[in-house]
Amino acid sequence: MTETADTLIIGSGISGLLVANELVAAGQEVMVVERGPMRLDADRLPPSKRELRIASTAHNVDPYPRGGGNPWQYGYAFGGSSLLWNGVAPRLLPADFEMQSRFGIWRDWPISYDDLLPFYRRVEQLLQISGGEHELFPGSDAYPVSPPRPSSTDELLRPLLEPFGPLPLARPGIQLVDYPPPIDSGWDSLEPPFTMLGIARALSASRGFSVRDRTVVSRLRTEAGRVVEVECVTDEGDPHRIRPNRVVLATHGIENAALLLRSGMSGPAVGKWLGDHPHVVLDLELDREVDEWRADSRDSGVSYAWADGPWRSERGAAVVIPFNPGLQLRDRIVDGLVGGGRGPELRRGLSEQFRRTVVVYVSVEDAPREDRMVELSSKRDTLGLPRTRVSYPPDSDYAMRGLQAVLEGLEERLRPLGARIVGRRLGGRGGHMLGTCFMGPEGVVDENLRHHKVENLHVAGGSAFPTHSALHPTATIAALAVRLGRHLAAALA
Amino acid sequence: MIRHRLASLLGLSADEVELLSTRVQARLGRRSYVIRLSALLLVTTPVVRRVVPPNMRRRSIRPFIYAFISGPSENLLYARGHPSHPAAADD
Repeated sequence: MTETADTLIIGSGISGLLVANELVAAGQEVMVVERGPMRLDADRLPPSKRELRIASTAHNVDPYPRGGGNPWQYGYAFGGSSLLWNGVAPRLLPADFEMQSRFGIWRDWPISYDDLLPFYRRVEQLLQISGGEHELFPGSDAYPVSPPRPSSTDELLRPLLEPFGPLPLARPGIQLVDYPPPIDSGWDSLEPPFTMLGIARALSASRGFSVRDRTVVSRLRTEAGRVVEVECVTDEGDPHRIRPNRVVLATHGIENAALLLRSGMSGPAVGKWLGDHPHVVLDLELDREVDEWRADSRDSGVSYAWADGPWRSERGAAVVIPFNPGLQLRDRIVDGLVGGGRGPELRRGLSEQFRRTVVVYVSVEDAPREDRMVELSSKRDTLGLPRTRVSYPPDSDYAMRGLQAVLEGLEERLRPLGARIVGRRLGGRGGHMLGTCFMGPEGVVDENLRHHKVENLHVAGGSAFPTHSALHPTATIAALAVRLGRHLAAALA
Repeated sequence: MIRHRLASLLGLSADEVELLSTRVQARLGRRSYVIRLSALLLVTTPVVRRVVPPNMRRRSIRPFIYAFISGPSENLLYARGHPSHPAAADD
C-alpha cells in the first residue's frame, strides 16, 4: 500500500511528538510512524509493562564483540523513551555549547544557549518541569513548577558543595505525594515522571494529526537530494510505502543513524561520535549519625561544584546529585545473613550504617569519540531488516580525570563531616544516545537540523548533539524539537 | 509461625513483617512468596549454615530479600521504621 503525507515524523518520543505538536498547532498536517502500538493510556501502567513486545518493537541493537558493550536503554512504544525515563531535566550550561571557543577542544555547537533559551522556557512549560532560578543558567527565573523542598541530605551537603541548586525535574506528581511513596500502594509508583502521552492524547484529537503505528521504517529512498519515498514494513511483515513532502527523523540516537545507514546515506559523521554519560554511585561514610531523614523526591538537589571551569580543556565536567533514598540495604542484609547475622543486632548495625552514610551519584562528561559508532550488522531481525551493532570502547581518560577530580574533591569538601568514600559502583547508563548525526559543518545536519545533503530531511533528538556536557540531555532534546517544529511551521506558513 | 520466624531473623516487629509481606505476596503470588521465604528460613538455620557453602546460601537468601526490601519505602522502613508505624523514629 502507498500513501502520501505532508510532514512525516519517524518516531513518537519526546522529539517526534514535540515537533508534531508545533506543526499541528500551526495548522499543518503531520503523520507519525511508530514501531509500537498506539496505546494512549500506557502511562497508567507500571513502567515494566509500557512497552508491548511484538515483532516491530523487538530491540535491535547488538554490542559489537570487539568494541565493548553499553546497556542501551530505549523504548519502542508510542511515547518512546518518555515512558521509561527518570524525569531529570536540567538545561545545558552556556559553556557546554562552546567547548572549542572556550576550552580549545572538540567543537562548538552552531547555536548558543541564548539561541535555545526561549525553547527551554517553552519546554519547561510543556513538560511541567520544576526548578528554581540559578545564576549558572541565565533566564532560569520562570519555571512553571516550584521545586520540591530540599531534602535533609541536600541541606546537609549544600553548604559544602556550592554552587548547589534544585535539580530540575519533570515529575509533576511529586507535589502530591510525600516521598517515599506508601509501601502498600500496590506497585512502585515512584513520582511518575512526565510522559509524552498527555500531549499525544491531545494531538490524537486534533485535525491534521495521524499515526501509522506498529510500523517500522526500513529505509528512505532519495532522488536528486530529496526523500521521495519512505519504505516501511508493518508488524505483520507487510510492505507499506509513504510519499512525504518532508521527513523528520526522531527515533533515538542509535536508530536515527541506523536508518540513515540502511538508506545508503552514510557519510564521514553518520553513526559515529556516539556518546553516553558515565554514571557512578558513591557511598560516603560520615563521622556521625544523621538522625533526620526527609525528602519529597528521589533526587531534589544538584551540586555544580565540578560542572564548569577552565580545567575543562583537560578533564571532564561532572554534576553530583544526592540520592535521597540513601544507602540501599538489601545487599548488606543478604551479606549479613550469609555471615550468620540475625535479629535486632543485624538490624541495628545496618540502621547505624544507613544513618552514617550519604549516597550521591555522579554524572560525568565524556569526550566525543569517533570510534564509538553505530554500524549495520550482518544479522537480520524478525522483519528481515539489518540489526544494528554498536562499538562503545570504555570511557576516555578525559572522563576518568573528571571523575578523579570529583572523588578527591568530595572528600576534601566534605572533610567537616568526616566523610570518606566507602563504596563506589557503576550507576545506570545507556539511556543517553548522543552525537551520531551531530549538527555543524562537519556533521550530518545544519543548525536547523536539516540534513546537509537531503533538503527535505531533518534529524531531531540527541543524535544532533555535537558535544555531550555532564548534564542530562532530555530538556535540550525537547528544546531542539520545539525549535525545529517552529522552524518548519514558519517555513510552511 | 513462619512470619514470626521471619520477624525474628530480620529484627522486625510482627506488624512490620505483616506490612511488608502483604505487599510482597501481592506482587509475587502466595506460592512464590512461600517458596522464597521457606528457602530463606531453611538456609539461615545453624545446621544448614554449617554444611552449605556461603555462595549457595546466598542464592537462596537473595530472592526473598530482594523482593522483601525492593524499594525505597521498604528500605527506609528497615533502616528507620515506617513513618506511619509506631516503631518509627521521630523525625
